[in-house]
Amino acid sequence: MVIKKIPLRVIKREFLQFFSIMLLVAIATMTYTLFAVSMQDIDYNYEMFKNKYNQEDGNFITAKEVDIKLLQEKFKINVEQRLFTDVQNDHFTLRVFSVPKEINKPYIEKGRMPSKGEILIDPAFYKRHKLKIGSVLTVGRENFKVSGIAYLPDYIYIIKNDQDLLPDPEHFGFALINEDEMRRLFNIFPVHYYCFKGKVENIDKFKEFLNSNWGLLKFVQRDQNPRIMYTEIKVENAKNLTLPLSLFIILVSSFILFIVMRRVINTMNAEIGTIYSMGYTQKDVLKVFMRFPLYIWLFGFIFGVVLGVIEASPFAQFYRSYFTLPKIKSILPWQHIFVAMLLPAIFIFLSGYLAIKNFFKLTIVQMLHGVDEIKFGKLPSIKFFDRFEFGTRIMLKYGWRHIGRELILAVGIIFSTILMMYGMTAKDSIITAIERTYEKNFKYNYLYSLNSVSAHPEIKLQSAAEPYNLLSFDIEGTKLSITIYGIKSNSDMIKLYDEKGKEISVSSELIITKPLASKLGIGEGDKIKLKNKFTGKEYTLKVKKVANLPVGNNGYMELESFNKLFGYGSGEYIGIFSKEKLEIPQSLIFESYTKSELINTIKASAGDLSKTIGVMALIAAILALLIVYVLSTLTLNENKKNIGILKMLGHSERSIFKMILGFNYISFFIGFVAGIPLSKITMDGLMSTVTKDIDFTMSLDLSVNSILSTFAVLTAVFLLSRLLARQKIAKVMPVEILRGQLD
Amino acid sequence: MFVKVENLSKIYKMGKNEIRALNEVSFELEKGKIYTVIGPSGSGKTTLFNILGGLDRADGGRVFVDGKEITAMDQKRLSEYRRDYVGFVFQFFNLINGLTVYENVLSSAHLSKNPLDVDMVLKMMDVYSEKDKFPFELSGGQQQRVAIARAVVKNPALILCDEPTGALDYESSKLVLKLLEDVNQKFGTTILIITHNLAISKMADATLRLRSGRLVEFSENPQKISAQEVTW
Repeated sequence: MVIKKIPLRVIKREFLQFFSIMLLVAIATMTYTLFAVSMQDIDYNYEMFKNKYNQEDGNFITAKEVDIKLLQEKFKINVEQRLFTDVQNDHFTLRVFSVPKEINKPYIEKGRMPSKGEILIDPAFYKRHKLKIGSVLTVGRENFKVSGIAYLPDYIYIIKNDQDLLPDPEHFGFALINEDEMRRLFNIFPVHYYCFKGKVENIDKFKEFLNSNWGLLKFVQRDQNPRIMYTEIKVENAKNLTLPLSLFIILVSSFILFIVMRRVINTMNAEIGTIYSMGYTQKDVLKVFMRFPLYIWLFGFIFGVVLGVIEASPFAQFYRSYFTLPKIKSILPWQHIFVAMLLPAIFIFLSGYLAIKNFFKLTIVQMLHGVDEIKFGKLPSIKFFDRFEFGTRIMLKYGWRHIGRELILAVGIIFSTILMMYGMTAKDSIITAIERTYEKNFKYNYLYSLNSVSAHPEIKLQSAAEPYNLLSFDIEGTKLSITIYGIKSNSDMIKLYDEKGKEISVSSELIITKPLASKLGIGEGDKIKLKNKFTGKEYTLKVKKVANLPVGNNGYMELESFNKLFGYGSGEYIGIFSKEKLEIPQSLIFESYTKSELINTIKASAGDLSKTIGVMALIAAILALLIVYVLSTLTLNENKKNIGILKMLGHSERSIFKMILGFNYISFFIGFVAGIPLSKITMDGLMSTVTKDIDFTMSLDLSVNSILSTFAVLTAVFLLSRLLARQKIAKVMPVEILRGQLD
Repeated sequence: MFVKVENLSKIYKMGKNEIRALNEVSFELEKGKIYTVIGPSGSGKTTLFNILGGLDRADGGRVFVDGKEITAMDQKRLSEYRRDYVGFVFQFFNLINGLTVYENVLSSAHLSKNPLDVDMVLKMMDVYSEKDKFPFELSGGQQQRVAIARAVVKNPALILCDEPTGALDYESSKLVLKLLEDVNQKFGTTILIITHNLAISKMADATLRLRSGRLVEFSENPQKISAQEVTW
């Protein structure tokens, strides 16, 4: 059948328009393939890593050395001690562990297990510091040769402190050396660190047992360990994002395809009528015109899947390095490729079929003569527009006539705005966290966490230092926990402010952070039930104030009241905030960090985020460009005759453009304005879902700058697509209209 | 009789009004002759063209072509009828823009059980040199000749022409008429030309005159002239 050549020829003739739709389909397919393939790869490798390398069920730190045998027998679990110490140099901190043998076994990607004088390094730190196998690192007083790269199942998200937001390999990493060397090098270990594997029947009893026998300092179960859970949640979250994102793009491209198909069919009415009149059947015509969706799908699918599969490997690599997950085995998940192929096919063929089927309702005579797409008279309230001057009136009528198309444009802009805002919000929030929390609220420069709670007579506190105490509690009715700090009533180190910026004085009553309050859905005057994480003792506390801190599941109260309430002696504390560096014996310190370290971590993380934002902005911009361009050219193509007549009457190209496509400005603006609160709502929803069960919260704030930047980018893209579309108007010659030769 | 039309009626409903486009029209056409249908706008010429071509349905009466009642045919059989019996020539050519001249003609030849040679027909219509061009690259006259070639190549028994010279200049119109005459003489095809141009009736074997949906005159033309001699 020679008529089967028609679709390719039409596609060639209207290349940019069809190419834009193909690109939309390709982006949708690519998005799905990219996410699905890389997520499956990560998921598969993570599961393998977790099981094969025996990921822990929890860990704890005690002040005294634990009797492992007793513990194992009593609670029927496997316990392994792991020696560790933080080695600091001018630029970074290296957390050095002894090589685990049974629990959290290392996966060595490159190199070998360390022998005497050798060290294994985590991959992110290794890469960032441009190390090589054989490079020399100074740990403690000795030089160690790097023997390889190692991954640990309990350090897949390498953060120094539990509260850290993002990994920072520039300033922090882990290393593994042999236990003998550890003992030789660091003969004093102020605290004792253990990992356990196995199900503990009564966790409260277990903690109580640890606390009463060896002084429990920290207890973390697997599902509360940010170094494990952040990765799991982020992978899960990315998996959940895949389908809606690609589905949305496929839906938008299908709807645009449907509109384009209708236009193609409508402009080819006489040709189809002629084909019919020649004796071709409906089936023949359907076979020919279904080639439009077929070609669009084939191009979109092949291009999208190929690009998706190619990109999936580096994308998965990027994700893996972000979480420090190893690639143990390569897989190609065919089921996802099949879905990527099938998903757009369903929508595209359906929309193509519906567009053609609609046309088949006409008689051949109607096809030959052509029918108006929509009758103006059928639309209500059209007379309302007559009160405006001519140009505006026509512009409003055109917009009203193609209201479905305008809605799609607005939805496309909303989607692009949300996508771009998502990246901006993340960056904004981190910047807010730095500025507000660490500069406005936390005035200390050094934080020392000690290995026991006592009055510490051996430490002489200077004027620029303040003691603090803290305890962690489970919040009843939730999976959340809160860390309550006992601080000085007129603390110079921690400054808390309410929503209006008024300073809150710390008293015997509880003050909680704003993100925690919103996560719990509580406010001032409400009560919360808490359970001590170590002892299991329960408390009901009234929230006096909500402090406007952007990060953290924290609470604050006056130190002496804290000690009294939770059973500590007067003057006892576990840590020190200080403006200056303190000389504290190393044997007393559990961990310490400087404010500048924290700020650097966050700033470095924000820098990494810029790349993600860049990719998101690019996808958003391409989507906006394609949607606006396809819809604009579609309207212009349909109105060639009217454009020619308006030109003949003497209207300028500018005024014609305004009349026919002026409504797009309104749709664009509505889309953008609606996109801002929707971004905030979806982001808050996303954040609360992501952080629902973990001890971390961050307020998401949109700054005027990010709104303006998004607006500037989208406006530039919008204007560019219109500039491209406007060239169509210039090409319409009135004389062709007179000759009746336009297609 | 090759074509037999009995009491043919067609009614269009325009809102609450009814328009009788054809009202009890009856006539017979012989095989291998040229007929013209004339009449003012709204007289029912195009409606007759559509029903004879199997493009539209009648509301009353019967039409027989080569002994087959096309008014009783379902869509599938009508499709077969159009494919096997009829070639169309429209006022605005209705060529398929996405196909070349050659392919436009081939698309029709492909349907026929007994097609003519495409190259031969293109040469006959004097558009062979344009066979690789697309319709928009041709003049109106050339496009109409391609349209005739497309109708002829199927070797149909009946060619229906709706104002075939309506969009053409004088010279092109004369050429088109000459080609239709050649086709009639060479292949014995029955040709029915719908036209406003009374002069064209002079080359026809008979003329049907319609007015307000009624056949007011069916006149034989014993002094038929050749297409070359037709002037206006």
